[in-house]
Amino acid sequence: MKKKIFTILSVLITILFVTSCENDMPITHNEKFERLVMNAFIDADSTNNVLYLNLTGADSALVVKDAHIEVRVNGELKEKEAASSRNKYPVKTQFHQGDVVRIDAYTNDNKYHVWVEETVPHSVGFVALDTAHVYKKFNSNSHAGGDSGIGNIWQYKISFKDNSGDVNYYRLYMERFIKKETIYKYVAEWPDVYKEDTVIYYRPDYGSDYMCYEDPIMMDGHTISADGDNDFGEYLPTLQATENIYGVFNNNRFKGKSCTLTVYDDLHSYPLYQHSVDTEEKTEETTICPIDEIFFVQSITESEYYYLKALNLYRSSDYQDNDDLSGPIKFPTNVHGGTGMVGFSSSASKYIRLQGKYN
Amino acid sequence: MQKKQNSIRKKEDRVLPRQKRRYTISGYVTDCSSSETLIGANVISHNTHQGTASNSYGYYSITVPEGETDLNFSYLGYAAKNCKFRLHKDTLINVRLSSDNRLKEIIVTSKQDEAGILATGMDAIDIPVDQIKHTPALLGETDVMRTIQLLPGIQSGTAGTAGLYVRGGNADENLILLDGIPVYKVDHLFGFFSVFTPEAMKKVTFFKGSFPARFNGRLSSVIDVRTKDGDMNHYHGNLAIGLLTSRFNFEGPIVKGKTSFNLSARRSYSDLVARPFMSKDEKFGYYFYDFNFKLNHKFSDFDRLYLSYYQGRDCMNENDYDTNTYNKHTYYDRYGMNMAWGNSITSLRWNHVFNDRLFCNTTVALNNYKIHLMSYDNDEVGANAYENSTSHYNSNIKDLNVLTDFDYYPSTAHHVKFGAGYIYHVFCPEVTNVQCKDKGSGTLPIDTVYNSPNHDIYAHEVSAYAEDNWKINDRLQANWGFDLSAFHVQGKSYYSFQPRLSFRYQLTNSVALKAAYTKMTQYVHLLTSMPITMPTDLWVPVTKKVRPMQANQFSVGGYYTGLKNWEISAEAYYKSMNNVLEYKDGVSFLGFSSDWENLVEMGHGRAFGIEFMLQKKVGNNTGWLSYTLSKSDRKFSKGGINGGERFPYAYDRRHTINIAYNRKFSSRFDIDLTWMFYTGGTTSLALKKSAIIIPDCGRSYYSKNVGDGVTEVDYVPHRNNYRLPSSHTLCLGFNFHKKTKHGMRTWNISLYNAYDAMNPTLIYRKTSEWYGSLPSSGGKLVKYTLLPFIPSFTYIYSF
Repeated sequence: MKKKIFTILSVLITILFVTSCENDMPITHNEKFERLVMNAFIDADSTNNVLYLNLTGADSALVVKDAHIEVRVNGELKEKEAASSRNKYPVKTQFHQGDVVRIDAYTNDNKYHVWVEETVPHSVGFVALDTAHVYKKFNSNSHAGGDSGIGNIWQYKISFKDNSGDVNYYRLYMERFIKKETIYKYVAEWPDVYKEDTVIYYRPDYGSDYMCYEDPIMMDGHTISADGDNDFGEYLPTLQATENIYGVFNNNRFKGKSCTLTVYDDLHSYPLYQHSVDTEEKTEETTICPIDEIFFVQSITESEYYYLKALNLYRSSDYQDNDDLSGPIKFPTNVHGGTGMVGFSSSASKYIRLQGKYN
Repeated sequence: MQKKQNSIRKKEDRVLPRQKRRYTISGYVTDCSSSETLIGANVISHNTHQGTASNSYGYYSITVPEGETDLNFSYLGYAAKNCKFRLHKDTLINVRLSSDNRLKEIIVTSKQDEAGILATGMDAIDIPVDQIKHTPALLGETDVMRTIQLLPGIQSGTAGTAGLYVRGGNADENLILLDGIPVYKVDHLFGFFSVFTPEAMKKVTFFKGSFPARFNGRLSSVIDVRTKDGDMNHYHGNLAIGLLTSRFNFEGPIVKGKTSFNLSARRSYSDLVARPFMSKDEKFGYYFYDFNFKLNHKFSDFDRLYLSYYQGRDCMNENDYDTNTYNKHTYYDRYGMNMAWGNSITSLRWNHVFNDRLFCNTTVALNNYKIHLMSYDNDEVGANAYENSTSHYNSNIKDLNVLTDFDYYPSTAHHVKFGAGYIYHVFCPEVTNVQCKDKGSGTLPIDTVYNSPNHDIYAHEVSAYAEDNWKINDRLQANWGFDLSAFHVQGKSYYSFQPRLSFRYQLTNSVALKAAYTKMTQYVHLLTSMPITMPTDLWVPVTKKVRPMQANQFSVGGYYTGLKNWEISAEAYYKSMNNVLEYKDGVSFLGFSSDWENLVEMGHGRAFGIEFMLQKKVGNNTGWLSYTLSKSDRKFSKGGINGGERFPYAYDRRHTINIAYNRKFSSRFDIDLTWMFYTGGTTSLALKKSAIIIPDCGRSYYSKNVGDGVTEVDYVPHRNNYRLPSSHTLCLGFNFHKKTKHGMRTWNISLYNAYDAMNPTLIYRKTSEWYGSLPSSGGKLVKYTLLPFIPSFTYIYSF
């Protein structure tokens, strides 16, 4: 009996030392074919849209400049375009809500052909846009937040009415324009008031550069508090609520009704009013920066909605931590015969000007 | 007078012999020592060469002609018993068989109704509990799922986990029953161990093809687990202490011959062992447990009542405590979480014998699977300033089951089963509640509660079935039946008619051919996005948008029993599945799924293959060798997944070889061996570069390589585009037994992955050391091997 046990153990120990412990494996695959990539975000309210063509590659995606595109609206050919530069192809057709748009792209050697067909969504009825200056704690981990902590930040309430229909997809988009006006005033030695105006008008921010983590519609019902309290994700990655970087949402919670979104921005970089005094010369300098903001509620296609959701995930820090388990992001595509994303949107917007002495 | 008597005698000679009447013999087949009912015991009439088998409650019924009767009762692991008597009326015979482990050979001439090579149905296998206990285990935890993974046509999912992927189906397509009640969550520790403890089990039957009509609700397989009733005559039990868990089983009579109980429990204790070594400010723990209790009362030979309770849980907790002093203020921070998930099943069953030919079982059961997560963060600065947040996450499924099943034996040629069932489902998908309280921090005080908008979903499921096991003639048997089911949810009703057909033709004494067709419908789905099971995997019902899944399976097979003690089989199958669900490409699976209906797409799956098995069940050397050649794929035509193109299923492993071997050297020493080999499944790997468009940066973004307006990204050309390397695992178990004064002591040494094969559990592409970018052309893959060589030992004491 003892001899049997000894024999067994000897054989096992020998096997153990003979095995290998290789952790790296070479990649062996036969994927040789490439795909034509077509990308665009078409704004139905613009006639200066741009479509991009590339080719997938083993080491790098490639520029495609020897191709042409054809745009059809409701079956009728509206334009045919070649590249304006490198991989850019202009789309100048004016689209209308409800149009069925088909875009075909052909490489000039006829090796690749891709196409996409979508219906331009209907814009919403924008009801109201209100702002308030509130004293609040905000989340520094938010992509739009500045410094962390507590302070006066801007609260925006955007109200609109959902389109009729089953499921609708939206994106909250914002453009900010700043007109910076500086007045210099010299007193004391010079009896005259010297005034110099410096006006700069620029657009520093656009997109979804606001904090929406507390809004249940924009966070799909699962908000994150200002402290970043979403502790589930710390313990189970499948419970991590991904921050809505691109401001996309659907109408699951307000089908056919009005809804109000609440978002925030600290605007700390853009003081509306500054006043400084040079005490020796009693020089005064006053800077007034009214901020013009336009909020757009974009109606987007379903494919663009899921594409932007995937982008939310791709750009979030959670994804980098968990890509071993969940695998690489497979971006949704609505391009037939190739890959890429061509999204269509139409917008309703409201303008507001912020001015005053809020700092 | 004599002339008259002769005349009468001649008249009598001319009268035809009276046709023999037929009478029914019925009763229970039980273990002689414990009175435990024996399921599937063979009952053969030597006079008529007809037979039957005891049903799931040990009850049998056989109708034979009156007169001299010779019945043989046999069951694997028990000494056969003959009953010879003169039959002249319907008779009740309860048979008690003696266990005989020394038996070297059992001549099985059974005509088992349901499982085994000689049954009418195909793809059905009885798994002896003894075999489960002798399958080498991970960390000493013998597991029914790991034993089933060794059978042909079964894939194991991620290496080392206990998931089952049967003939190209998903893990949620297996109907796993505990005493007839479905179990939703069947694993612990993220899928590495199942919830079933062998000590509580009496019998396990596995169906992967021609499902009997009484089973419905899943597409790919049925695992029917029956637990022990409890010894009605003696007290005994066993205790096992292993590296991961300890478990015990205790059973015995409450009233001898009338009432018995069976109690078994298991708990892991790594948390208890590690806790003393943790700092007082940081405590972390994880453990799981299973608890089975059964009460069995025999009112008479005609009525029995069973009360069962099962509870299993995984529990994880963390509690931390920090203090800081800043600017003469002391800040206290307490944070942590508690998480628990698992099943609770309570059932009451009543067996009633109406007459010799009609048996009935009625079950009422409550089934609850739930997960609860609570996390908290309490910051305090003195008594007047605090910031508290508490988050709750809940998800559960509650079922009320009412089922009734009848066994009817109208004649020897027919064994009819029929019944009906009703399940009231309450699905409570993810509900979150976050409460924030903030006072004295310099801002406006906050006392806010955020709730998720998910609502309970109520569903009604009704089913009725009938089937007949029909012996058409000496060579041909058929099992035919159907299941009718209806599912009503959210104002929408779905109906399904599911025919079940199987035939068995005895070509020669040792060769049989079988063919079967099965249609199955499934009304619930498991949403999962990780390669390992997560407690947050969500069971959801069909809805107005998401239709029931359906599968049609055709199978044929040949069986040979000409070699003494050996069984050889070859089966081929084709399975077509409709409305299978997958998440669409790019869906944010890191997050909640309140919008899950819009995140998934329905498509078509197919699987086909051929399975070979060589098996020996008796003797000192037992085991089997199996080989499977199979293919499985999916297609989602709407285009949301893989562009509408067909792609291989994740566990599409072309070749699979399994070996299970048990060698009994003596009553004191035996060894167990399993070896699994399978060619690689598939995974999605980024093998190319592509360009994506990022909103709001087109005008300012420029890349020399990629051009304007777009940015380069890793590209997965199509789903499951990469074929993984093959995997193989050898597991060994050594058992040393010794009889003690009051029982038996066993030392088990298990070696999981005995030669330390580095099989890939997870794979991803290797990034460069800087910037995390992929290397150009070629490159390497990095694999994680979660389960290398793992030895363990277990001490078992049986009394």
